Amino acid sequence: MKRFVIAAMMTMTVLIVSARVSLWGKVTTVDGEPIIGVVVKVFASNGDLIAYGTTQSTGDYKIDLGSESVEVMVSFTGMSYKEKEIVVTDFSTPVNITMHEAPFQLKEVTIKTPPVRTLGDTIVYAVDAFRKASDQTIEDVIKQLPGIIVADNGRIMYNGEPINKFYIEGLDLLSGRYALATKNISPTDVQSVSVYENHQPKRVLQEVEISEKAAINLTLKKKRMLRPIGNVTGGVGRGNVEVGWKSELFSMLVSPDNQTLISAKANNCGTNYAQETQSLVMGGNAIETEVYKLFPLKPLGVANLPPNRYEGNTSVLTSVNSIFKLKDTLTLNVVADYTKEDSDYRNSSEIEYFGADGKGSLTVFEKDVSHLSRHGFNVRLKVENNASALFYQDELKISGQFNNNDYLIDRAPLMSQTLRNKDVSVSNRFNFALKHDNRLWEFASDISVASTPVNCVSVGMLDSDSLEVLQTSAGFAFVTHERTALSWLLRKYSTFGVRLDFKSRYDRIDSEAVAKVLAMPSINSISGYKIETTAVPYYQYKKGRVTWRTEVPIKMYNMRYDDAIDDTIYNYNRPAIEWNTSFTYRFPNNLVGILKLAQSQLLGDISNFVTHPIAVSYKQWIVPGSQLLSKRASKHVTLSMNYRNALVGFFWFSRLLYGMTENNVLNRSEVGQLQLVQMYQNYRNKSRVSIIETTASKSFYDIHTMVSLSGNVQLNKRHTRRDDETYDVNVAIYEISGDISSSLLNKQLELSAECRYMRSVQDLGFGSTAIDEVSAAFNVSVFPFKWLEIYAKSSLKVSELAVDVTTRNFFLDGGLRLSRGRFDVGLSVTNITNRRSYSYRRFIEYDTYTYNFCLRPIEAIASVRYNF
Amino acid sequence: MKKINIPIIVFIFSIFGANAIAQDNILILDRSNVECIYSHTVFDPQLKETQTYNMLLQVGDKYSKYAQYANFRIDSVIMKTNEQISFNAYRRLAKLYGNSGFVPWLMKNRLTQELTVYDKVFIDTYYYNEPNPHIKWTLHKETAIVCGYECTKASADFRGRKWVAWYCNIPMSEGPWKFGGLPGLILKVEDTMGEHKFEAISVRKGRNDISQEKIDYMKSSRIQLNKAVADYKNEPWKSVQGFVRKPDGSPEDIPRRRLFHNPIEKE
Repeated sequence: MKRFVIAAMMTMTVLIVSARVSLWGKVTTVDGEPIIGVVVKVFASNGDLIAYGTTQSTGDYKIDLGSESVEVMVSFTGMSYKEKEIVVTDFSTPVNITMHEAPFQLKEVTIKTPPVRTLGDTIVYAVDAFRKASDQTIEDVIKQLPGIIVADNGRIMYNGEPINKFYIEGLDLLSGRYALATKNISPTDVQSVSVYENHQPKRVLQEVEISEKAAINLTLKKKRMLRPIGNVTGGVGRGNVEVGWKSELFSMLVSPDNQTLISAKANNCGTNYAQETQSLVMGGNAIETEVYKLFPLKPLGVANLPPNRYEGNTSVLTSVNSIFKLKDTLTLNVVADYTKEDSDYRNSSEIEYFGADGKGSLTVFEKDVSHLSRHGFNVRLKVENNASALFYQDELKISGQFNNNDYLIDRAPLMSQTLRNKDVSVSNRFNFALKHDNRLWEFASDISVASTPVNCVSVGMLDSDSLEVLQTSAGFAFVTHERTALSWLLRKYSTFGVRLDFKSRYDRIDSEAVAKVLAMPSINSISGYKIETTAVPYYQYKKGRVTWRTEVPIKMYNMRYDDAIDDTIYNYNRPAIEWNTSFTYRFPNNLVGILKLAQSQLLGDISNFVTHPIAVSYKQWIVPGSQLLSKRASKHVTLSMNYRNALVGFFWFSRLLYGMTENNVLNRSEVGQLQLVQMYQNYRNKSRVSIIETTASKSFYDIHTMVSLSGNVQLNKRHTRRDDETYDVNVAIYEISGDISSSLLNKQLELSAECRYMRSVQDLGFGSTAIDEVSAAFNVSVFPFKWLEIYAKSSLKVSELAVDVTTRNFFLDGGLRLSRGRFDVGLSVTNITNRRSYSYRRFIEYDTYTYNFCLRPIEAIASVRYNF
Repeated sequence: MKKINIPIIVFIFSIFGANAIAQDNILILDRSNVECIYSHTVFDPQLKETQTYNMLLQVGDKYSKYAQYANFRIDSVIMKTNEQISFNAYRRLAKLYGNSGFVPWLMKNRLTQELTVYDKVFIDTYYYNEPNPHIKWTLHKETAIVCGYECTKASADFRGRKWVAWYCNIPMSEGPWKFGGLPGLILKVEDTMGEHKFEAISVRKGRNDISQEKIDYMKSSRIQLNKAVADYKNEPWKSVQGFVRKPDGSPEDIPRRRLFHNPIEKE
């Protein structure tokens, strides 16, 4: 029995083994040489892949087919050999194959760049992954990057904070005027946009002075470097009024040692270029005299619409920018801008001034036509050495603004008003920082001179040809700021340092107003200085995920102002102690929390002693001072949290702020049919502000879609005086907005939509008043062919003009663009619905303004752009 | 243990760098037929951080090499430079090309089917050999487009992780890292825990040298080296404790933090 069982098992084993089928053989060249790595695939009769293998170094292969097969198809493929397919029915003999050489046709190289990469504090966005076919400038792409918000003026915000530097290939070519790049560089020229979180621009201060702001760097495609790139555009069109035209040249040359950017543009189609030359980073703008700051450029209202909807303008821009890399870390930057702007607009307004009984005490109607002419220039020369042990920078800046704004005001009687002002400034900024062993020494010296040689407001009655108001003023400012700092790295995690600041400012204000409403001329002639000496001891602890920094600024103010008219001298010598502390914790999963507490004091300046009225428009008079040095003592607590996961495209930012301020002066106003007088009164008062804001954005890379949501609540509690009454004012602003953009059907269809709701509530102690505003926009671009774009842009603004009275303002623009080779031919039509007026209502200093602006008519312009 | 100070360690690094960057120290083994750049994304669940490395697979007739793409670009510059490049110049190149420091690399002899893996523990470099691993793939019928190629799905358990791979019709049984053994080039492979993902971002015809630096690596075994790397990454301070000293001779306070690490092989 035992023998039988063993015999039976052996027989079954043999049967099983014999049932398994193998395919084997050798693959050789026509010369008989073995071929290694040939992939042998075995397909069943139904086409399913049932087995596979590869040839060894001898060219042999052996593939176990598992069970008995009747007929299989075998394919032999190898790089550089022609594919061979045979049908095999006999598995008892080797299947030897001879393959013939043939180049393997590798599919056209396909590169898929990862949309986002992170490397520590750097996030790299691949531009091609985010670029939509309709994107014309790199700003259009940056707007779609998760975590980034771009304001209408071009300012880029990351985690709710404006960026502190904008680099092109690692160099700061534009000195903060980065709209020149973002609004002009084509996204097809850019490889990637990098965000440097917590960017400290001075290398010597890295790890010493923590920055909460981010920087952005553009990396160009290699093939777009070392040669001029850019475009030339020419266009002509027709509106209801005049022939429209535009002419633009933008060119840039980027090499490792030199970058040059040139822009020359002019148009009368509504696009205002002056914004492009504005500095969008902190401290980038030139100083102005106190006189220049007193006079608003557009005192009779601005629409909350893009200016190209209502301004009839001619805008000119010329800008030349160059940076030379003299050595590894040494650069020379030269910048020159000139802008010219001529704008016309018309509007009417109904102003309801609040009164003591909670009803409008006075309602004023006005209608005006204005023509604003502006010229500006800016020249900068900067040398910078930014090495890890030594930083120095010297920047010489000369700038000027020349404005002329002519109004025709229909207020029965008909009036004319002219505002004319000029401001010229020259400044030099020197910065130095040296790190040696554990010590760091910093020194900075800024010297600026600003002059407003003439600032004039004249108001005349057209009927009687009489002069109602003639306000002339002149101002001068001389400002110096010296800083030095010394710090010690205490052990590994702690830094202790002292910063010394010495600021001095000499101001002179001369003004004379002659007006029919004044019995005698109102004259101010004040001059004097303010010296602010500050010692700031600070301590910083940074270990692992924790950063704690505390500063205790100890200040001494010395002021002396001489009022030549009242023959009075104001002399103040005041000490002040402030403190601020911040605590940052980086959680493991990219969540960062920052808690800040601060107490600060702000003392006034020369304007506190300007006590005679100054006319800034036909109706508005201001008295900036009350003969008392103003003092604002503030306490703030801020908690901000941000989270990012760039790989899944999710960004979240939230901030809570509570602040309390004690003031010793209060603003006061008196209103009349033809007059609004704003002044200050000695009156101790407190104001409180609470802000809650949050923003979240999510990119769905697979479906080329980005969604973002943001909400904002701001609560203010303060006091104001109207005539002789004091009012407790509560103001609440609620805002929620969301937007979505998507590229569908293999980028043949692009959609974007946004919606925003804002509610402003104001309570002066006798019931609240609210204004609601809703705006929505929907854009669509269709690409029936890769070279043709047909687009439509629509927007709707619903404004509440009175209780239960709303107005809907619907705008529609459209056009098409053909791209063939280096040429783009476009036809754009704006305001297709030919809407000619726009109304909205808003609170300004607790009074209610209802504006109505005349709009530009339907316009069409055809343009040709050559890209090089 | 002998006590040395930081400048000496810097010097040691310089020597390693200088060895790696002299043209004479590069040995050319083969010429690539196909090259594929992979993005290797690693998630460290303990640190909750993600890092991405760009890696280059070069496949030639005799050898295939899988190494950091930045190193290939740097080596290409060095090969075109007749003079020896200084350590500072090397560092500049590394910065320019986004070198992520030392990243383990692999060389496979396609004739002998032997695999050599190179890795680093602190400042010491090691290698081990092993036969090209046989991964038991299960083929599926699902297809997807990866890097512009139609790919077919396959799955396998390999050294402690479950992997899903996507291979294309490019006729070579290769892939990133140690992956291979499928009837086409693997363009994407990821573990089911989402901790490792290799995805092709570029496939191109090869025409470059497959080279190897002549550095004296110390021999080890797979199990030994994987354990040593894990020990070092988990407690790096232990590797240098008492070894690193300040210029004044006092012990350097080494931060006790775990380094970014998540081994591909768990077994």
